[in-house]
Amino acid sequence: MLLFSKILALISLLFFFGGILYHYFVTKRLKFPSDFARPKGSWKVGVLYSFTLGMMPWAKESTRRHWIAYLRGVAFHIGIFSGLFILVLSFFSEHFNETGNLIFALIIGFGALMGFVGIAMRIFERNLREISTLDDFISVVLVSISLAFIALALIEPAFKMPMYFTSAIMLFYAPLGKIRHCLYFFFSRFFFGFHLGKRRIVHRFTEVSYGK
Amino acid sequence: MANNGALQKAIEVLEKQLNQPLKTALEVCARCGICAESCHYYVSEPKIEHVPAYRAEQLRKIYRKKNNFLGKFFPRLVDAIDLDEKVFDKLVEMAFSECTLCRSCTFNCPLGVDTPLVMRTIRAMATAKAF
Repeated sequence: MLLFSKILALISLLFFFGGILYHYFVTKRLKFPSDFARPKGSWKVGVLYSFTLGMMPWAKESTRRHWIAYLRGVAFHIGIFSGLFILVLSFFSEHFNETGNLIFALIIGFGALMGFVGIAMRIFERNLREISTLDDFISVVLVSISLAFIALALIEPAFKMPMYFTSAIMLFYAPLGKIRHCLYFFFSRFFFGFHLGKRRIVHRFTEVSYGK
Repeated sequence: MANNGALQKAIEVLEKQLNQPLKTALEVCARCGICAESCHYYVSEPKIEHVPAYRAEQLRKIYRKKNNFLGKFFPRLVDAIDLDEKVFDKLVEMAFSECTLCRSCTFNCPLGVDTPLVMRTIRAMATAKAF
């Protein structure tokens, strides 16, 4: 049964990467609109800023004001990437270092907890409840449960089977639902940085002149 | 009031304008709601219709119905809807009178969602419908 769940998770992982690649090529096939305005700066500087300092919590008024919500999201996503890393690693290796196991279990477990907090926020906060779709709830629930089992499996190998089953469901759902924003994040930040740089809103080494 | 032919024209404009940045803006939003207070409309009158994510969501619902697997086969999961006269009038009212395209929401969004681009698309749909 463990082997079956493992194969199922592997198939779902391949489906996930296939689905993300599909979305990538469908988007890349579309036109990239021309900007007729004369460039004033380098788009590369803007893109660099967009993916680095522009992501910092102090770079945006919204995250300065809602830094707890922002850090919750950061912890959740660190948990997701660590969880995926451990899941992929588990296909190749059965045993990890014990200290490493504990550290990853804590990071991923905390990520899962932050996922459940996110669900509570969507239920209790009026604005969030209004803008949320069923897909939002399903996605966060699937990811959080999957992370919880990955964390548990690092401590107790008996949880490996539920880990593979829940991860298989989550990975299968990912390219169909909201989770595919993991791909569009890169497109979005690129376009954002592209315009910031080209119109010289962001200068070399981060001096931002927006609003001046 | 819009008629079916005009609505079809509006949908065609949406399909025609669907380029990389627009598709990204329609796909990427995680609906975290952090953009709310970046909008001066929301600050002056804090209601859900003034949350940028909610505004862009109104066009996303229509986009999903035609361009998204869940939207086509399980529309309730992603709130996908068909464009009708009532929805279209609401969209137009919102895009012309409740957004100044200032991009404050884009700057304050952790993902950089270009909500003003979505609003501009609605304006283009409305203009096309009118002629």
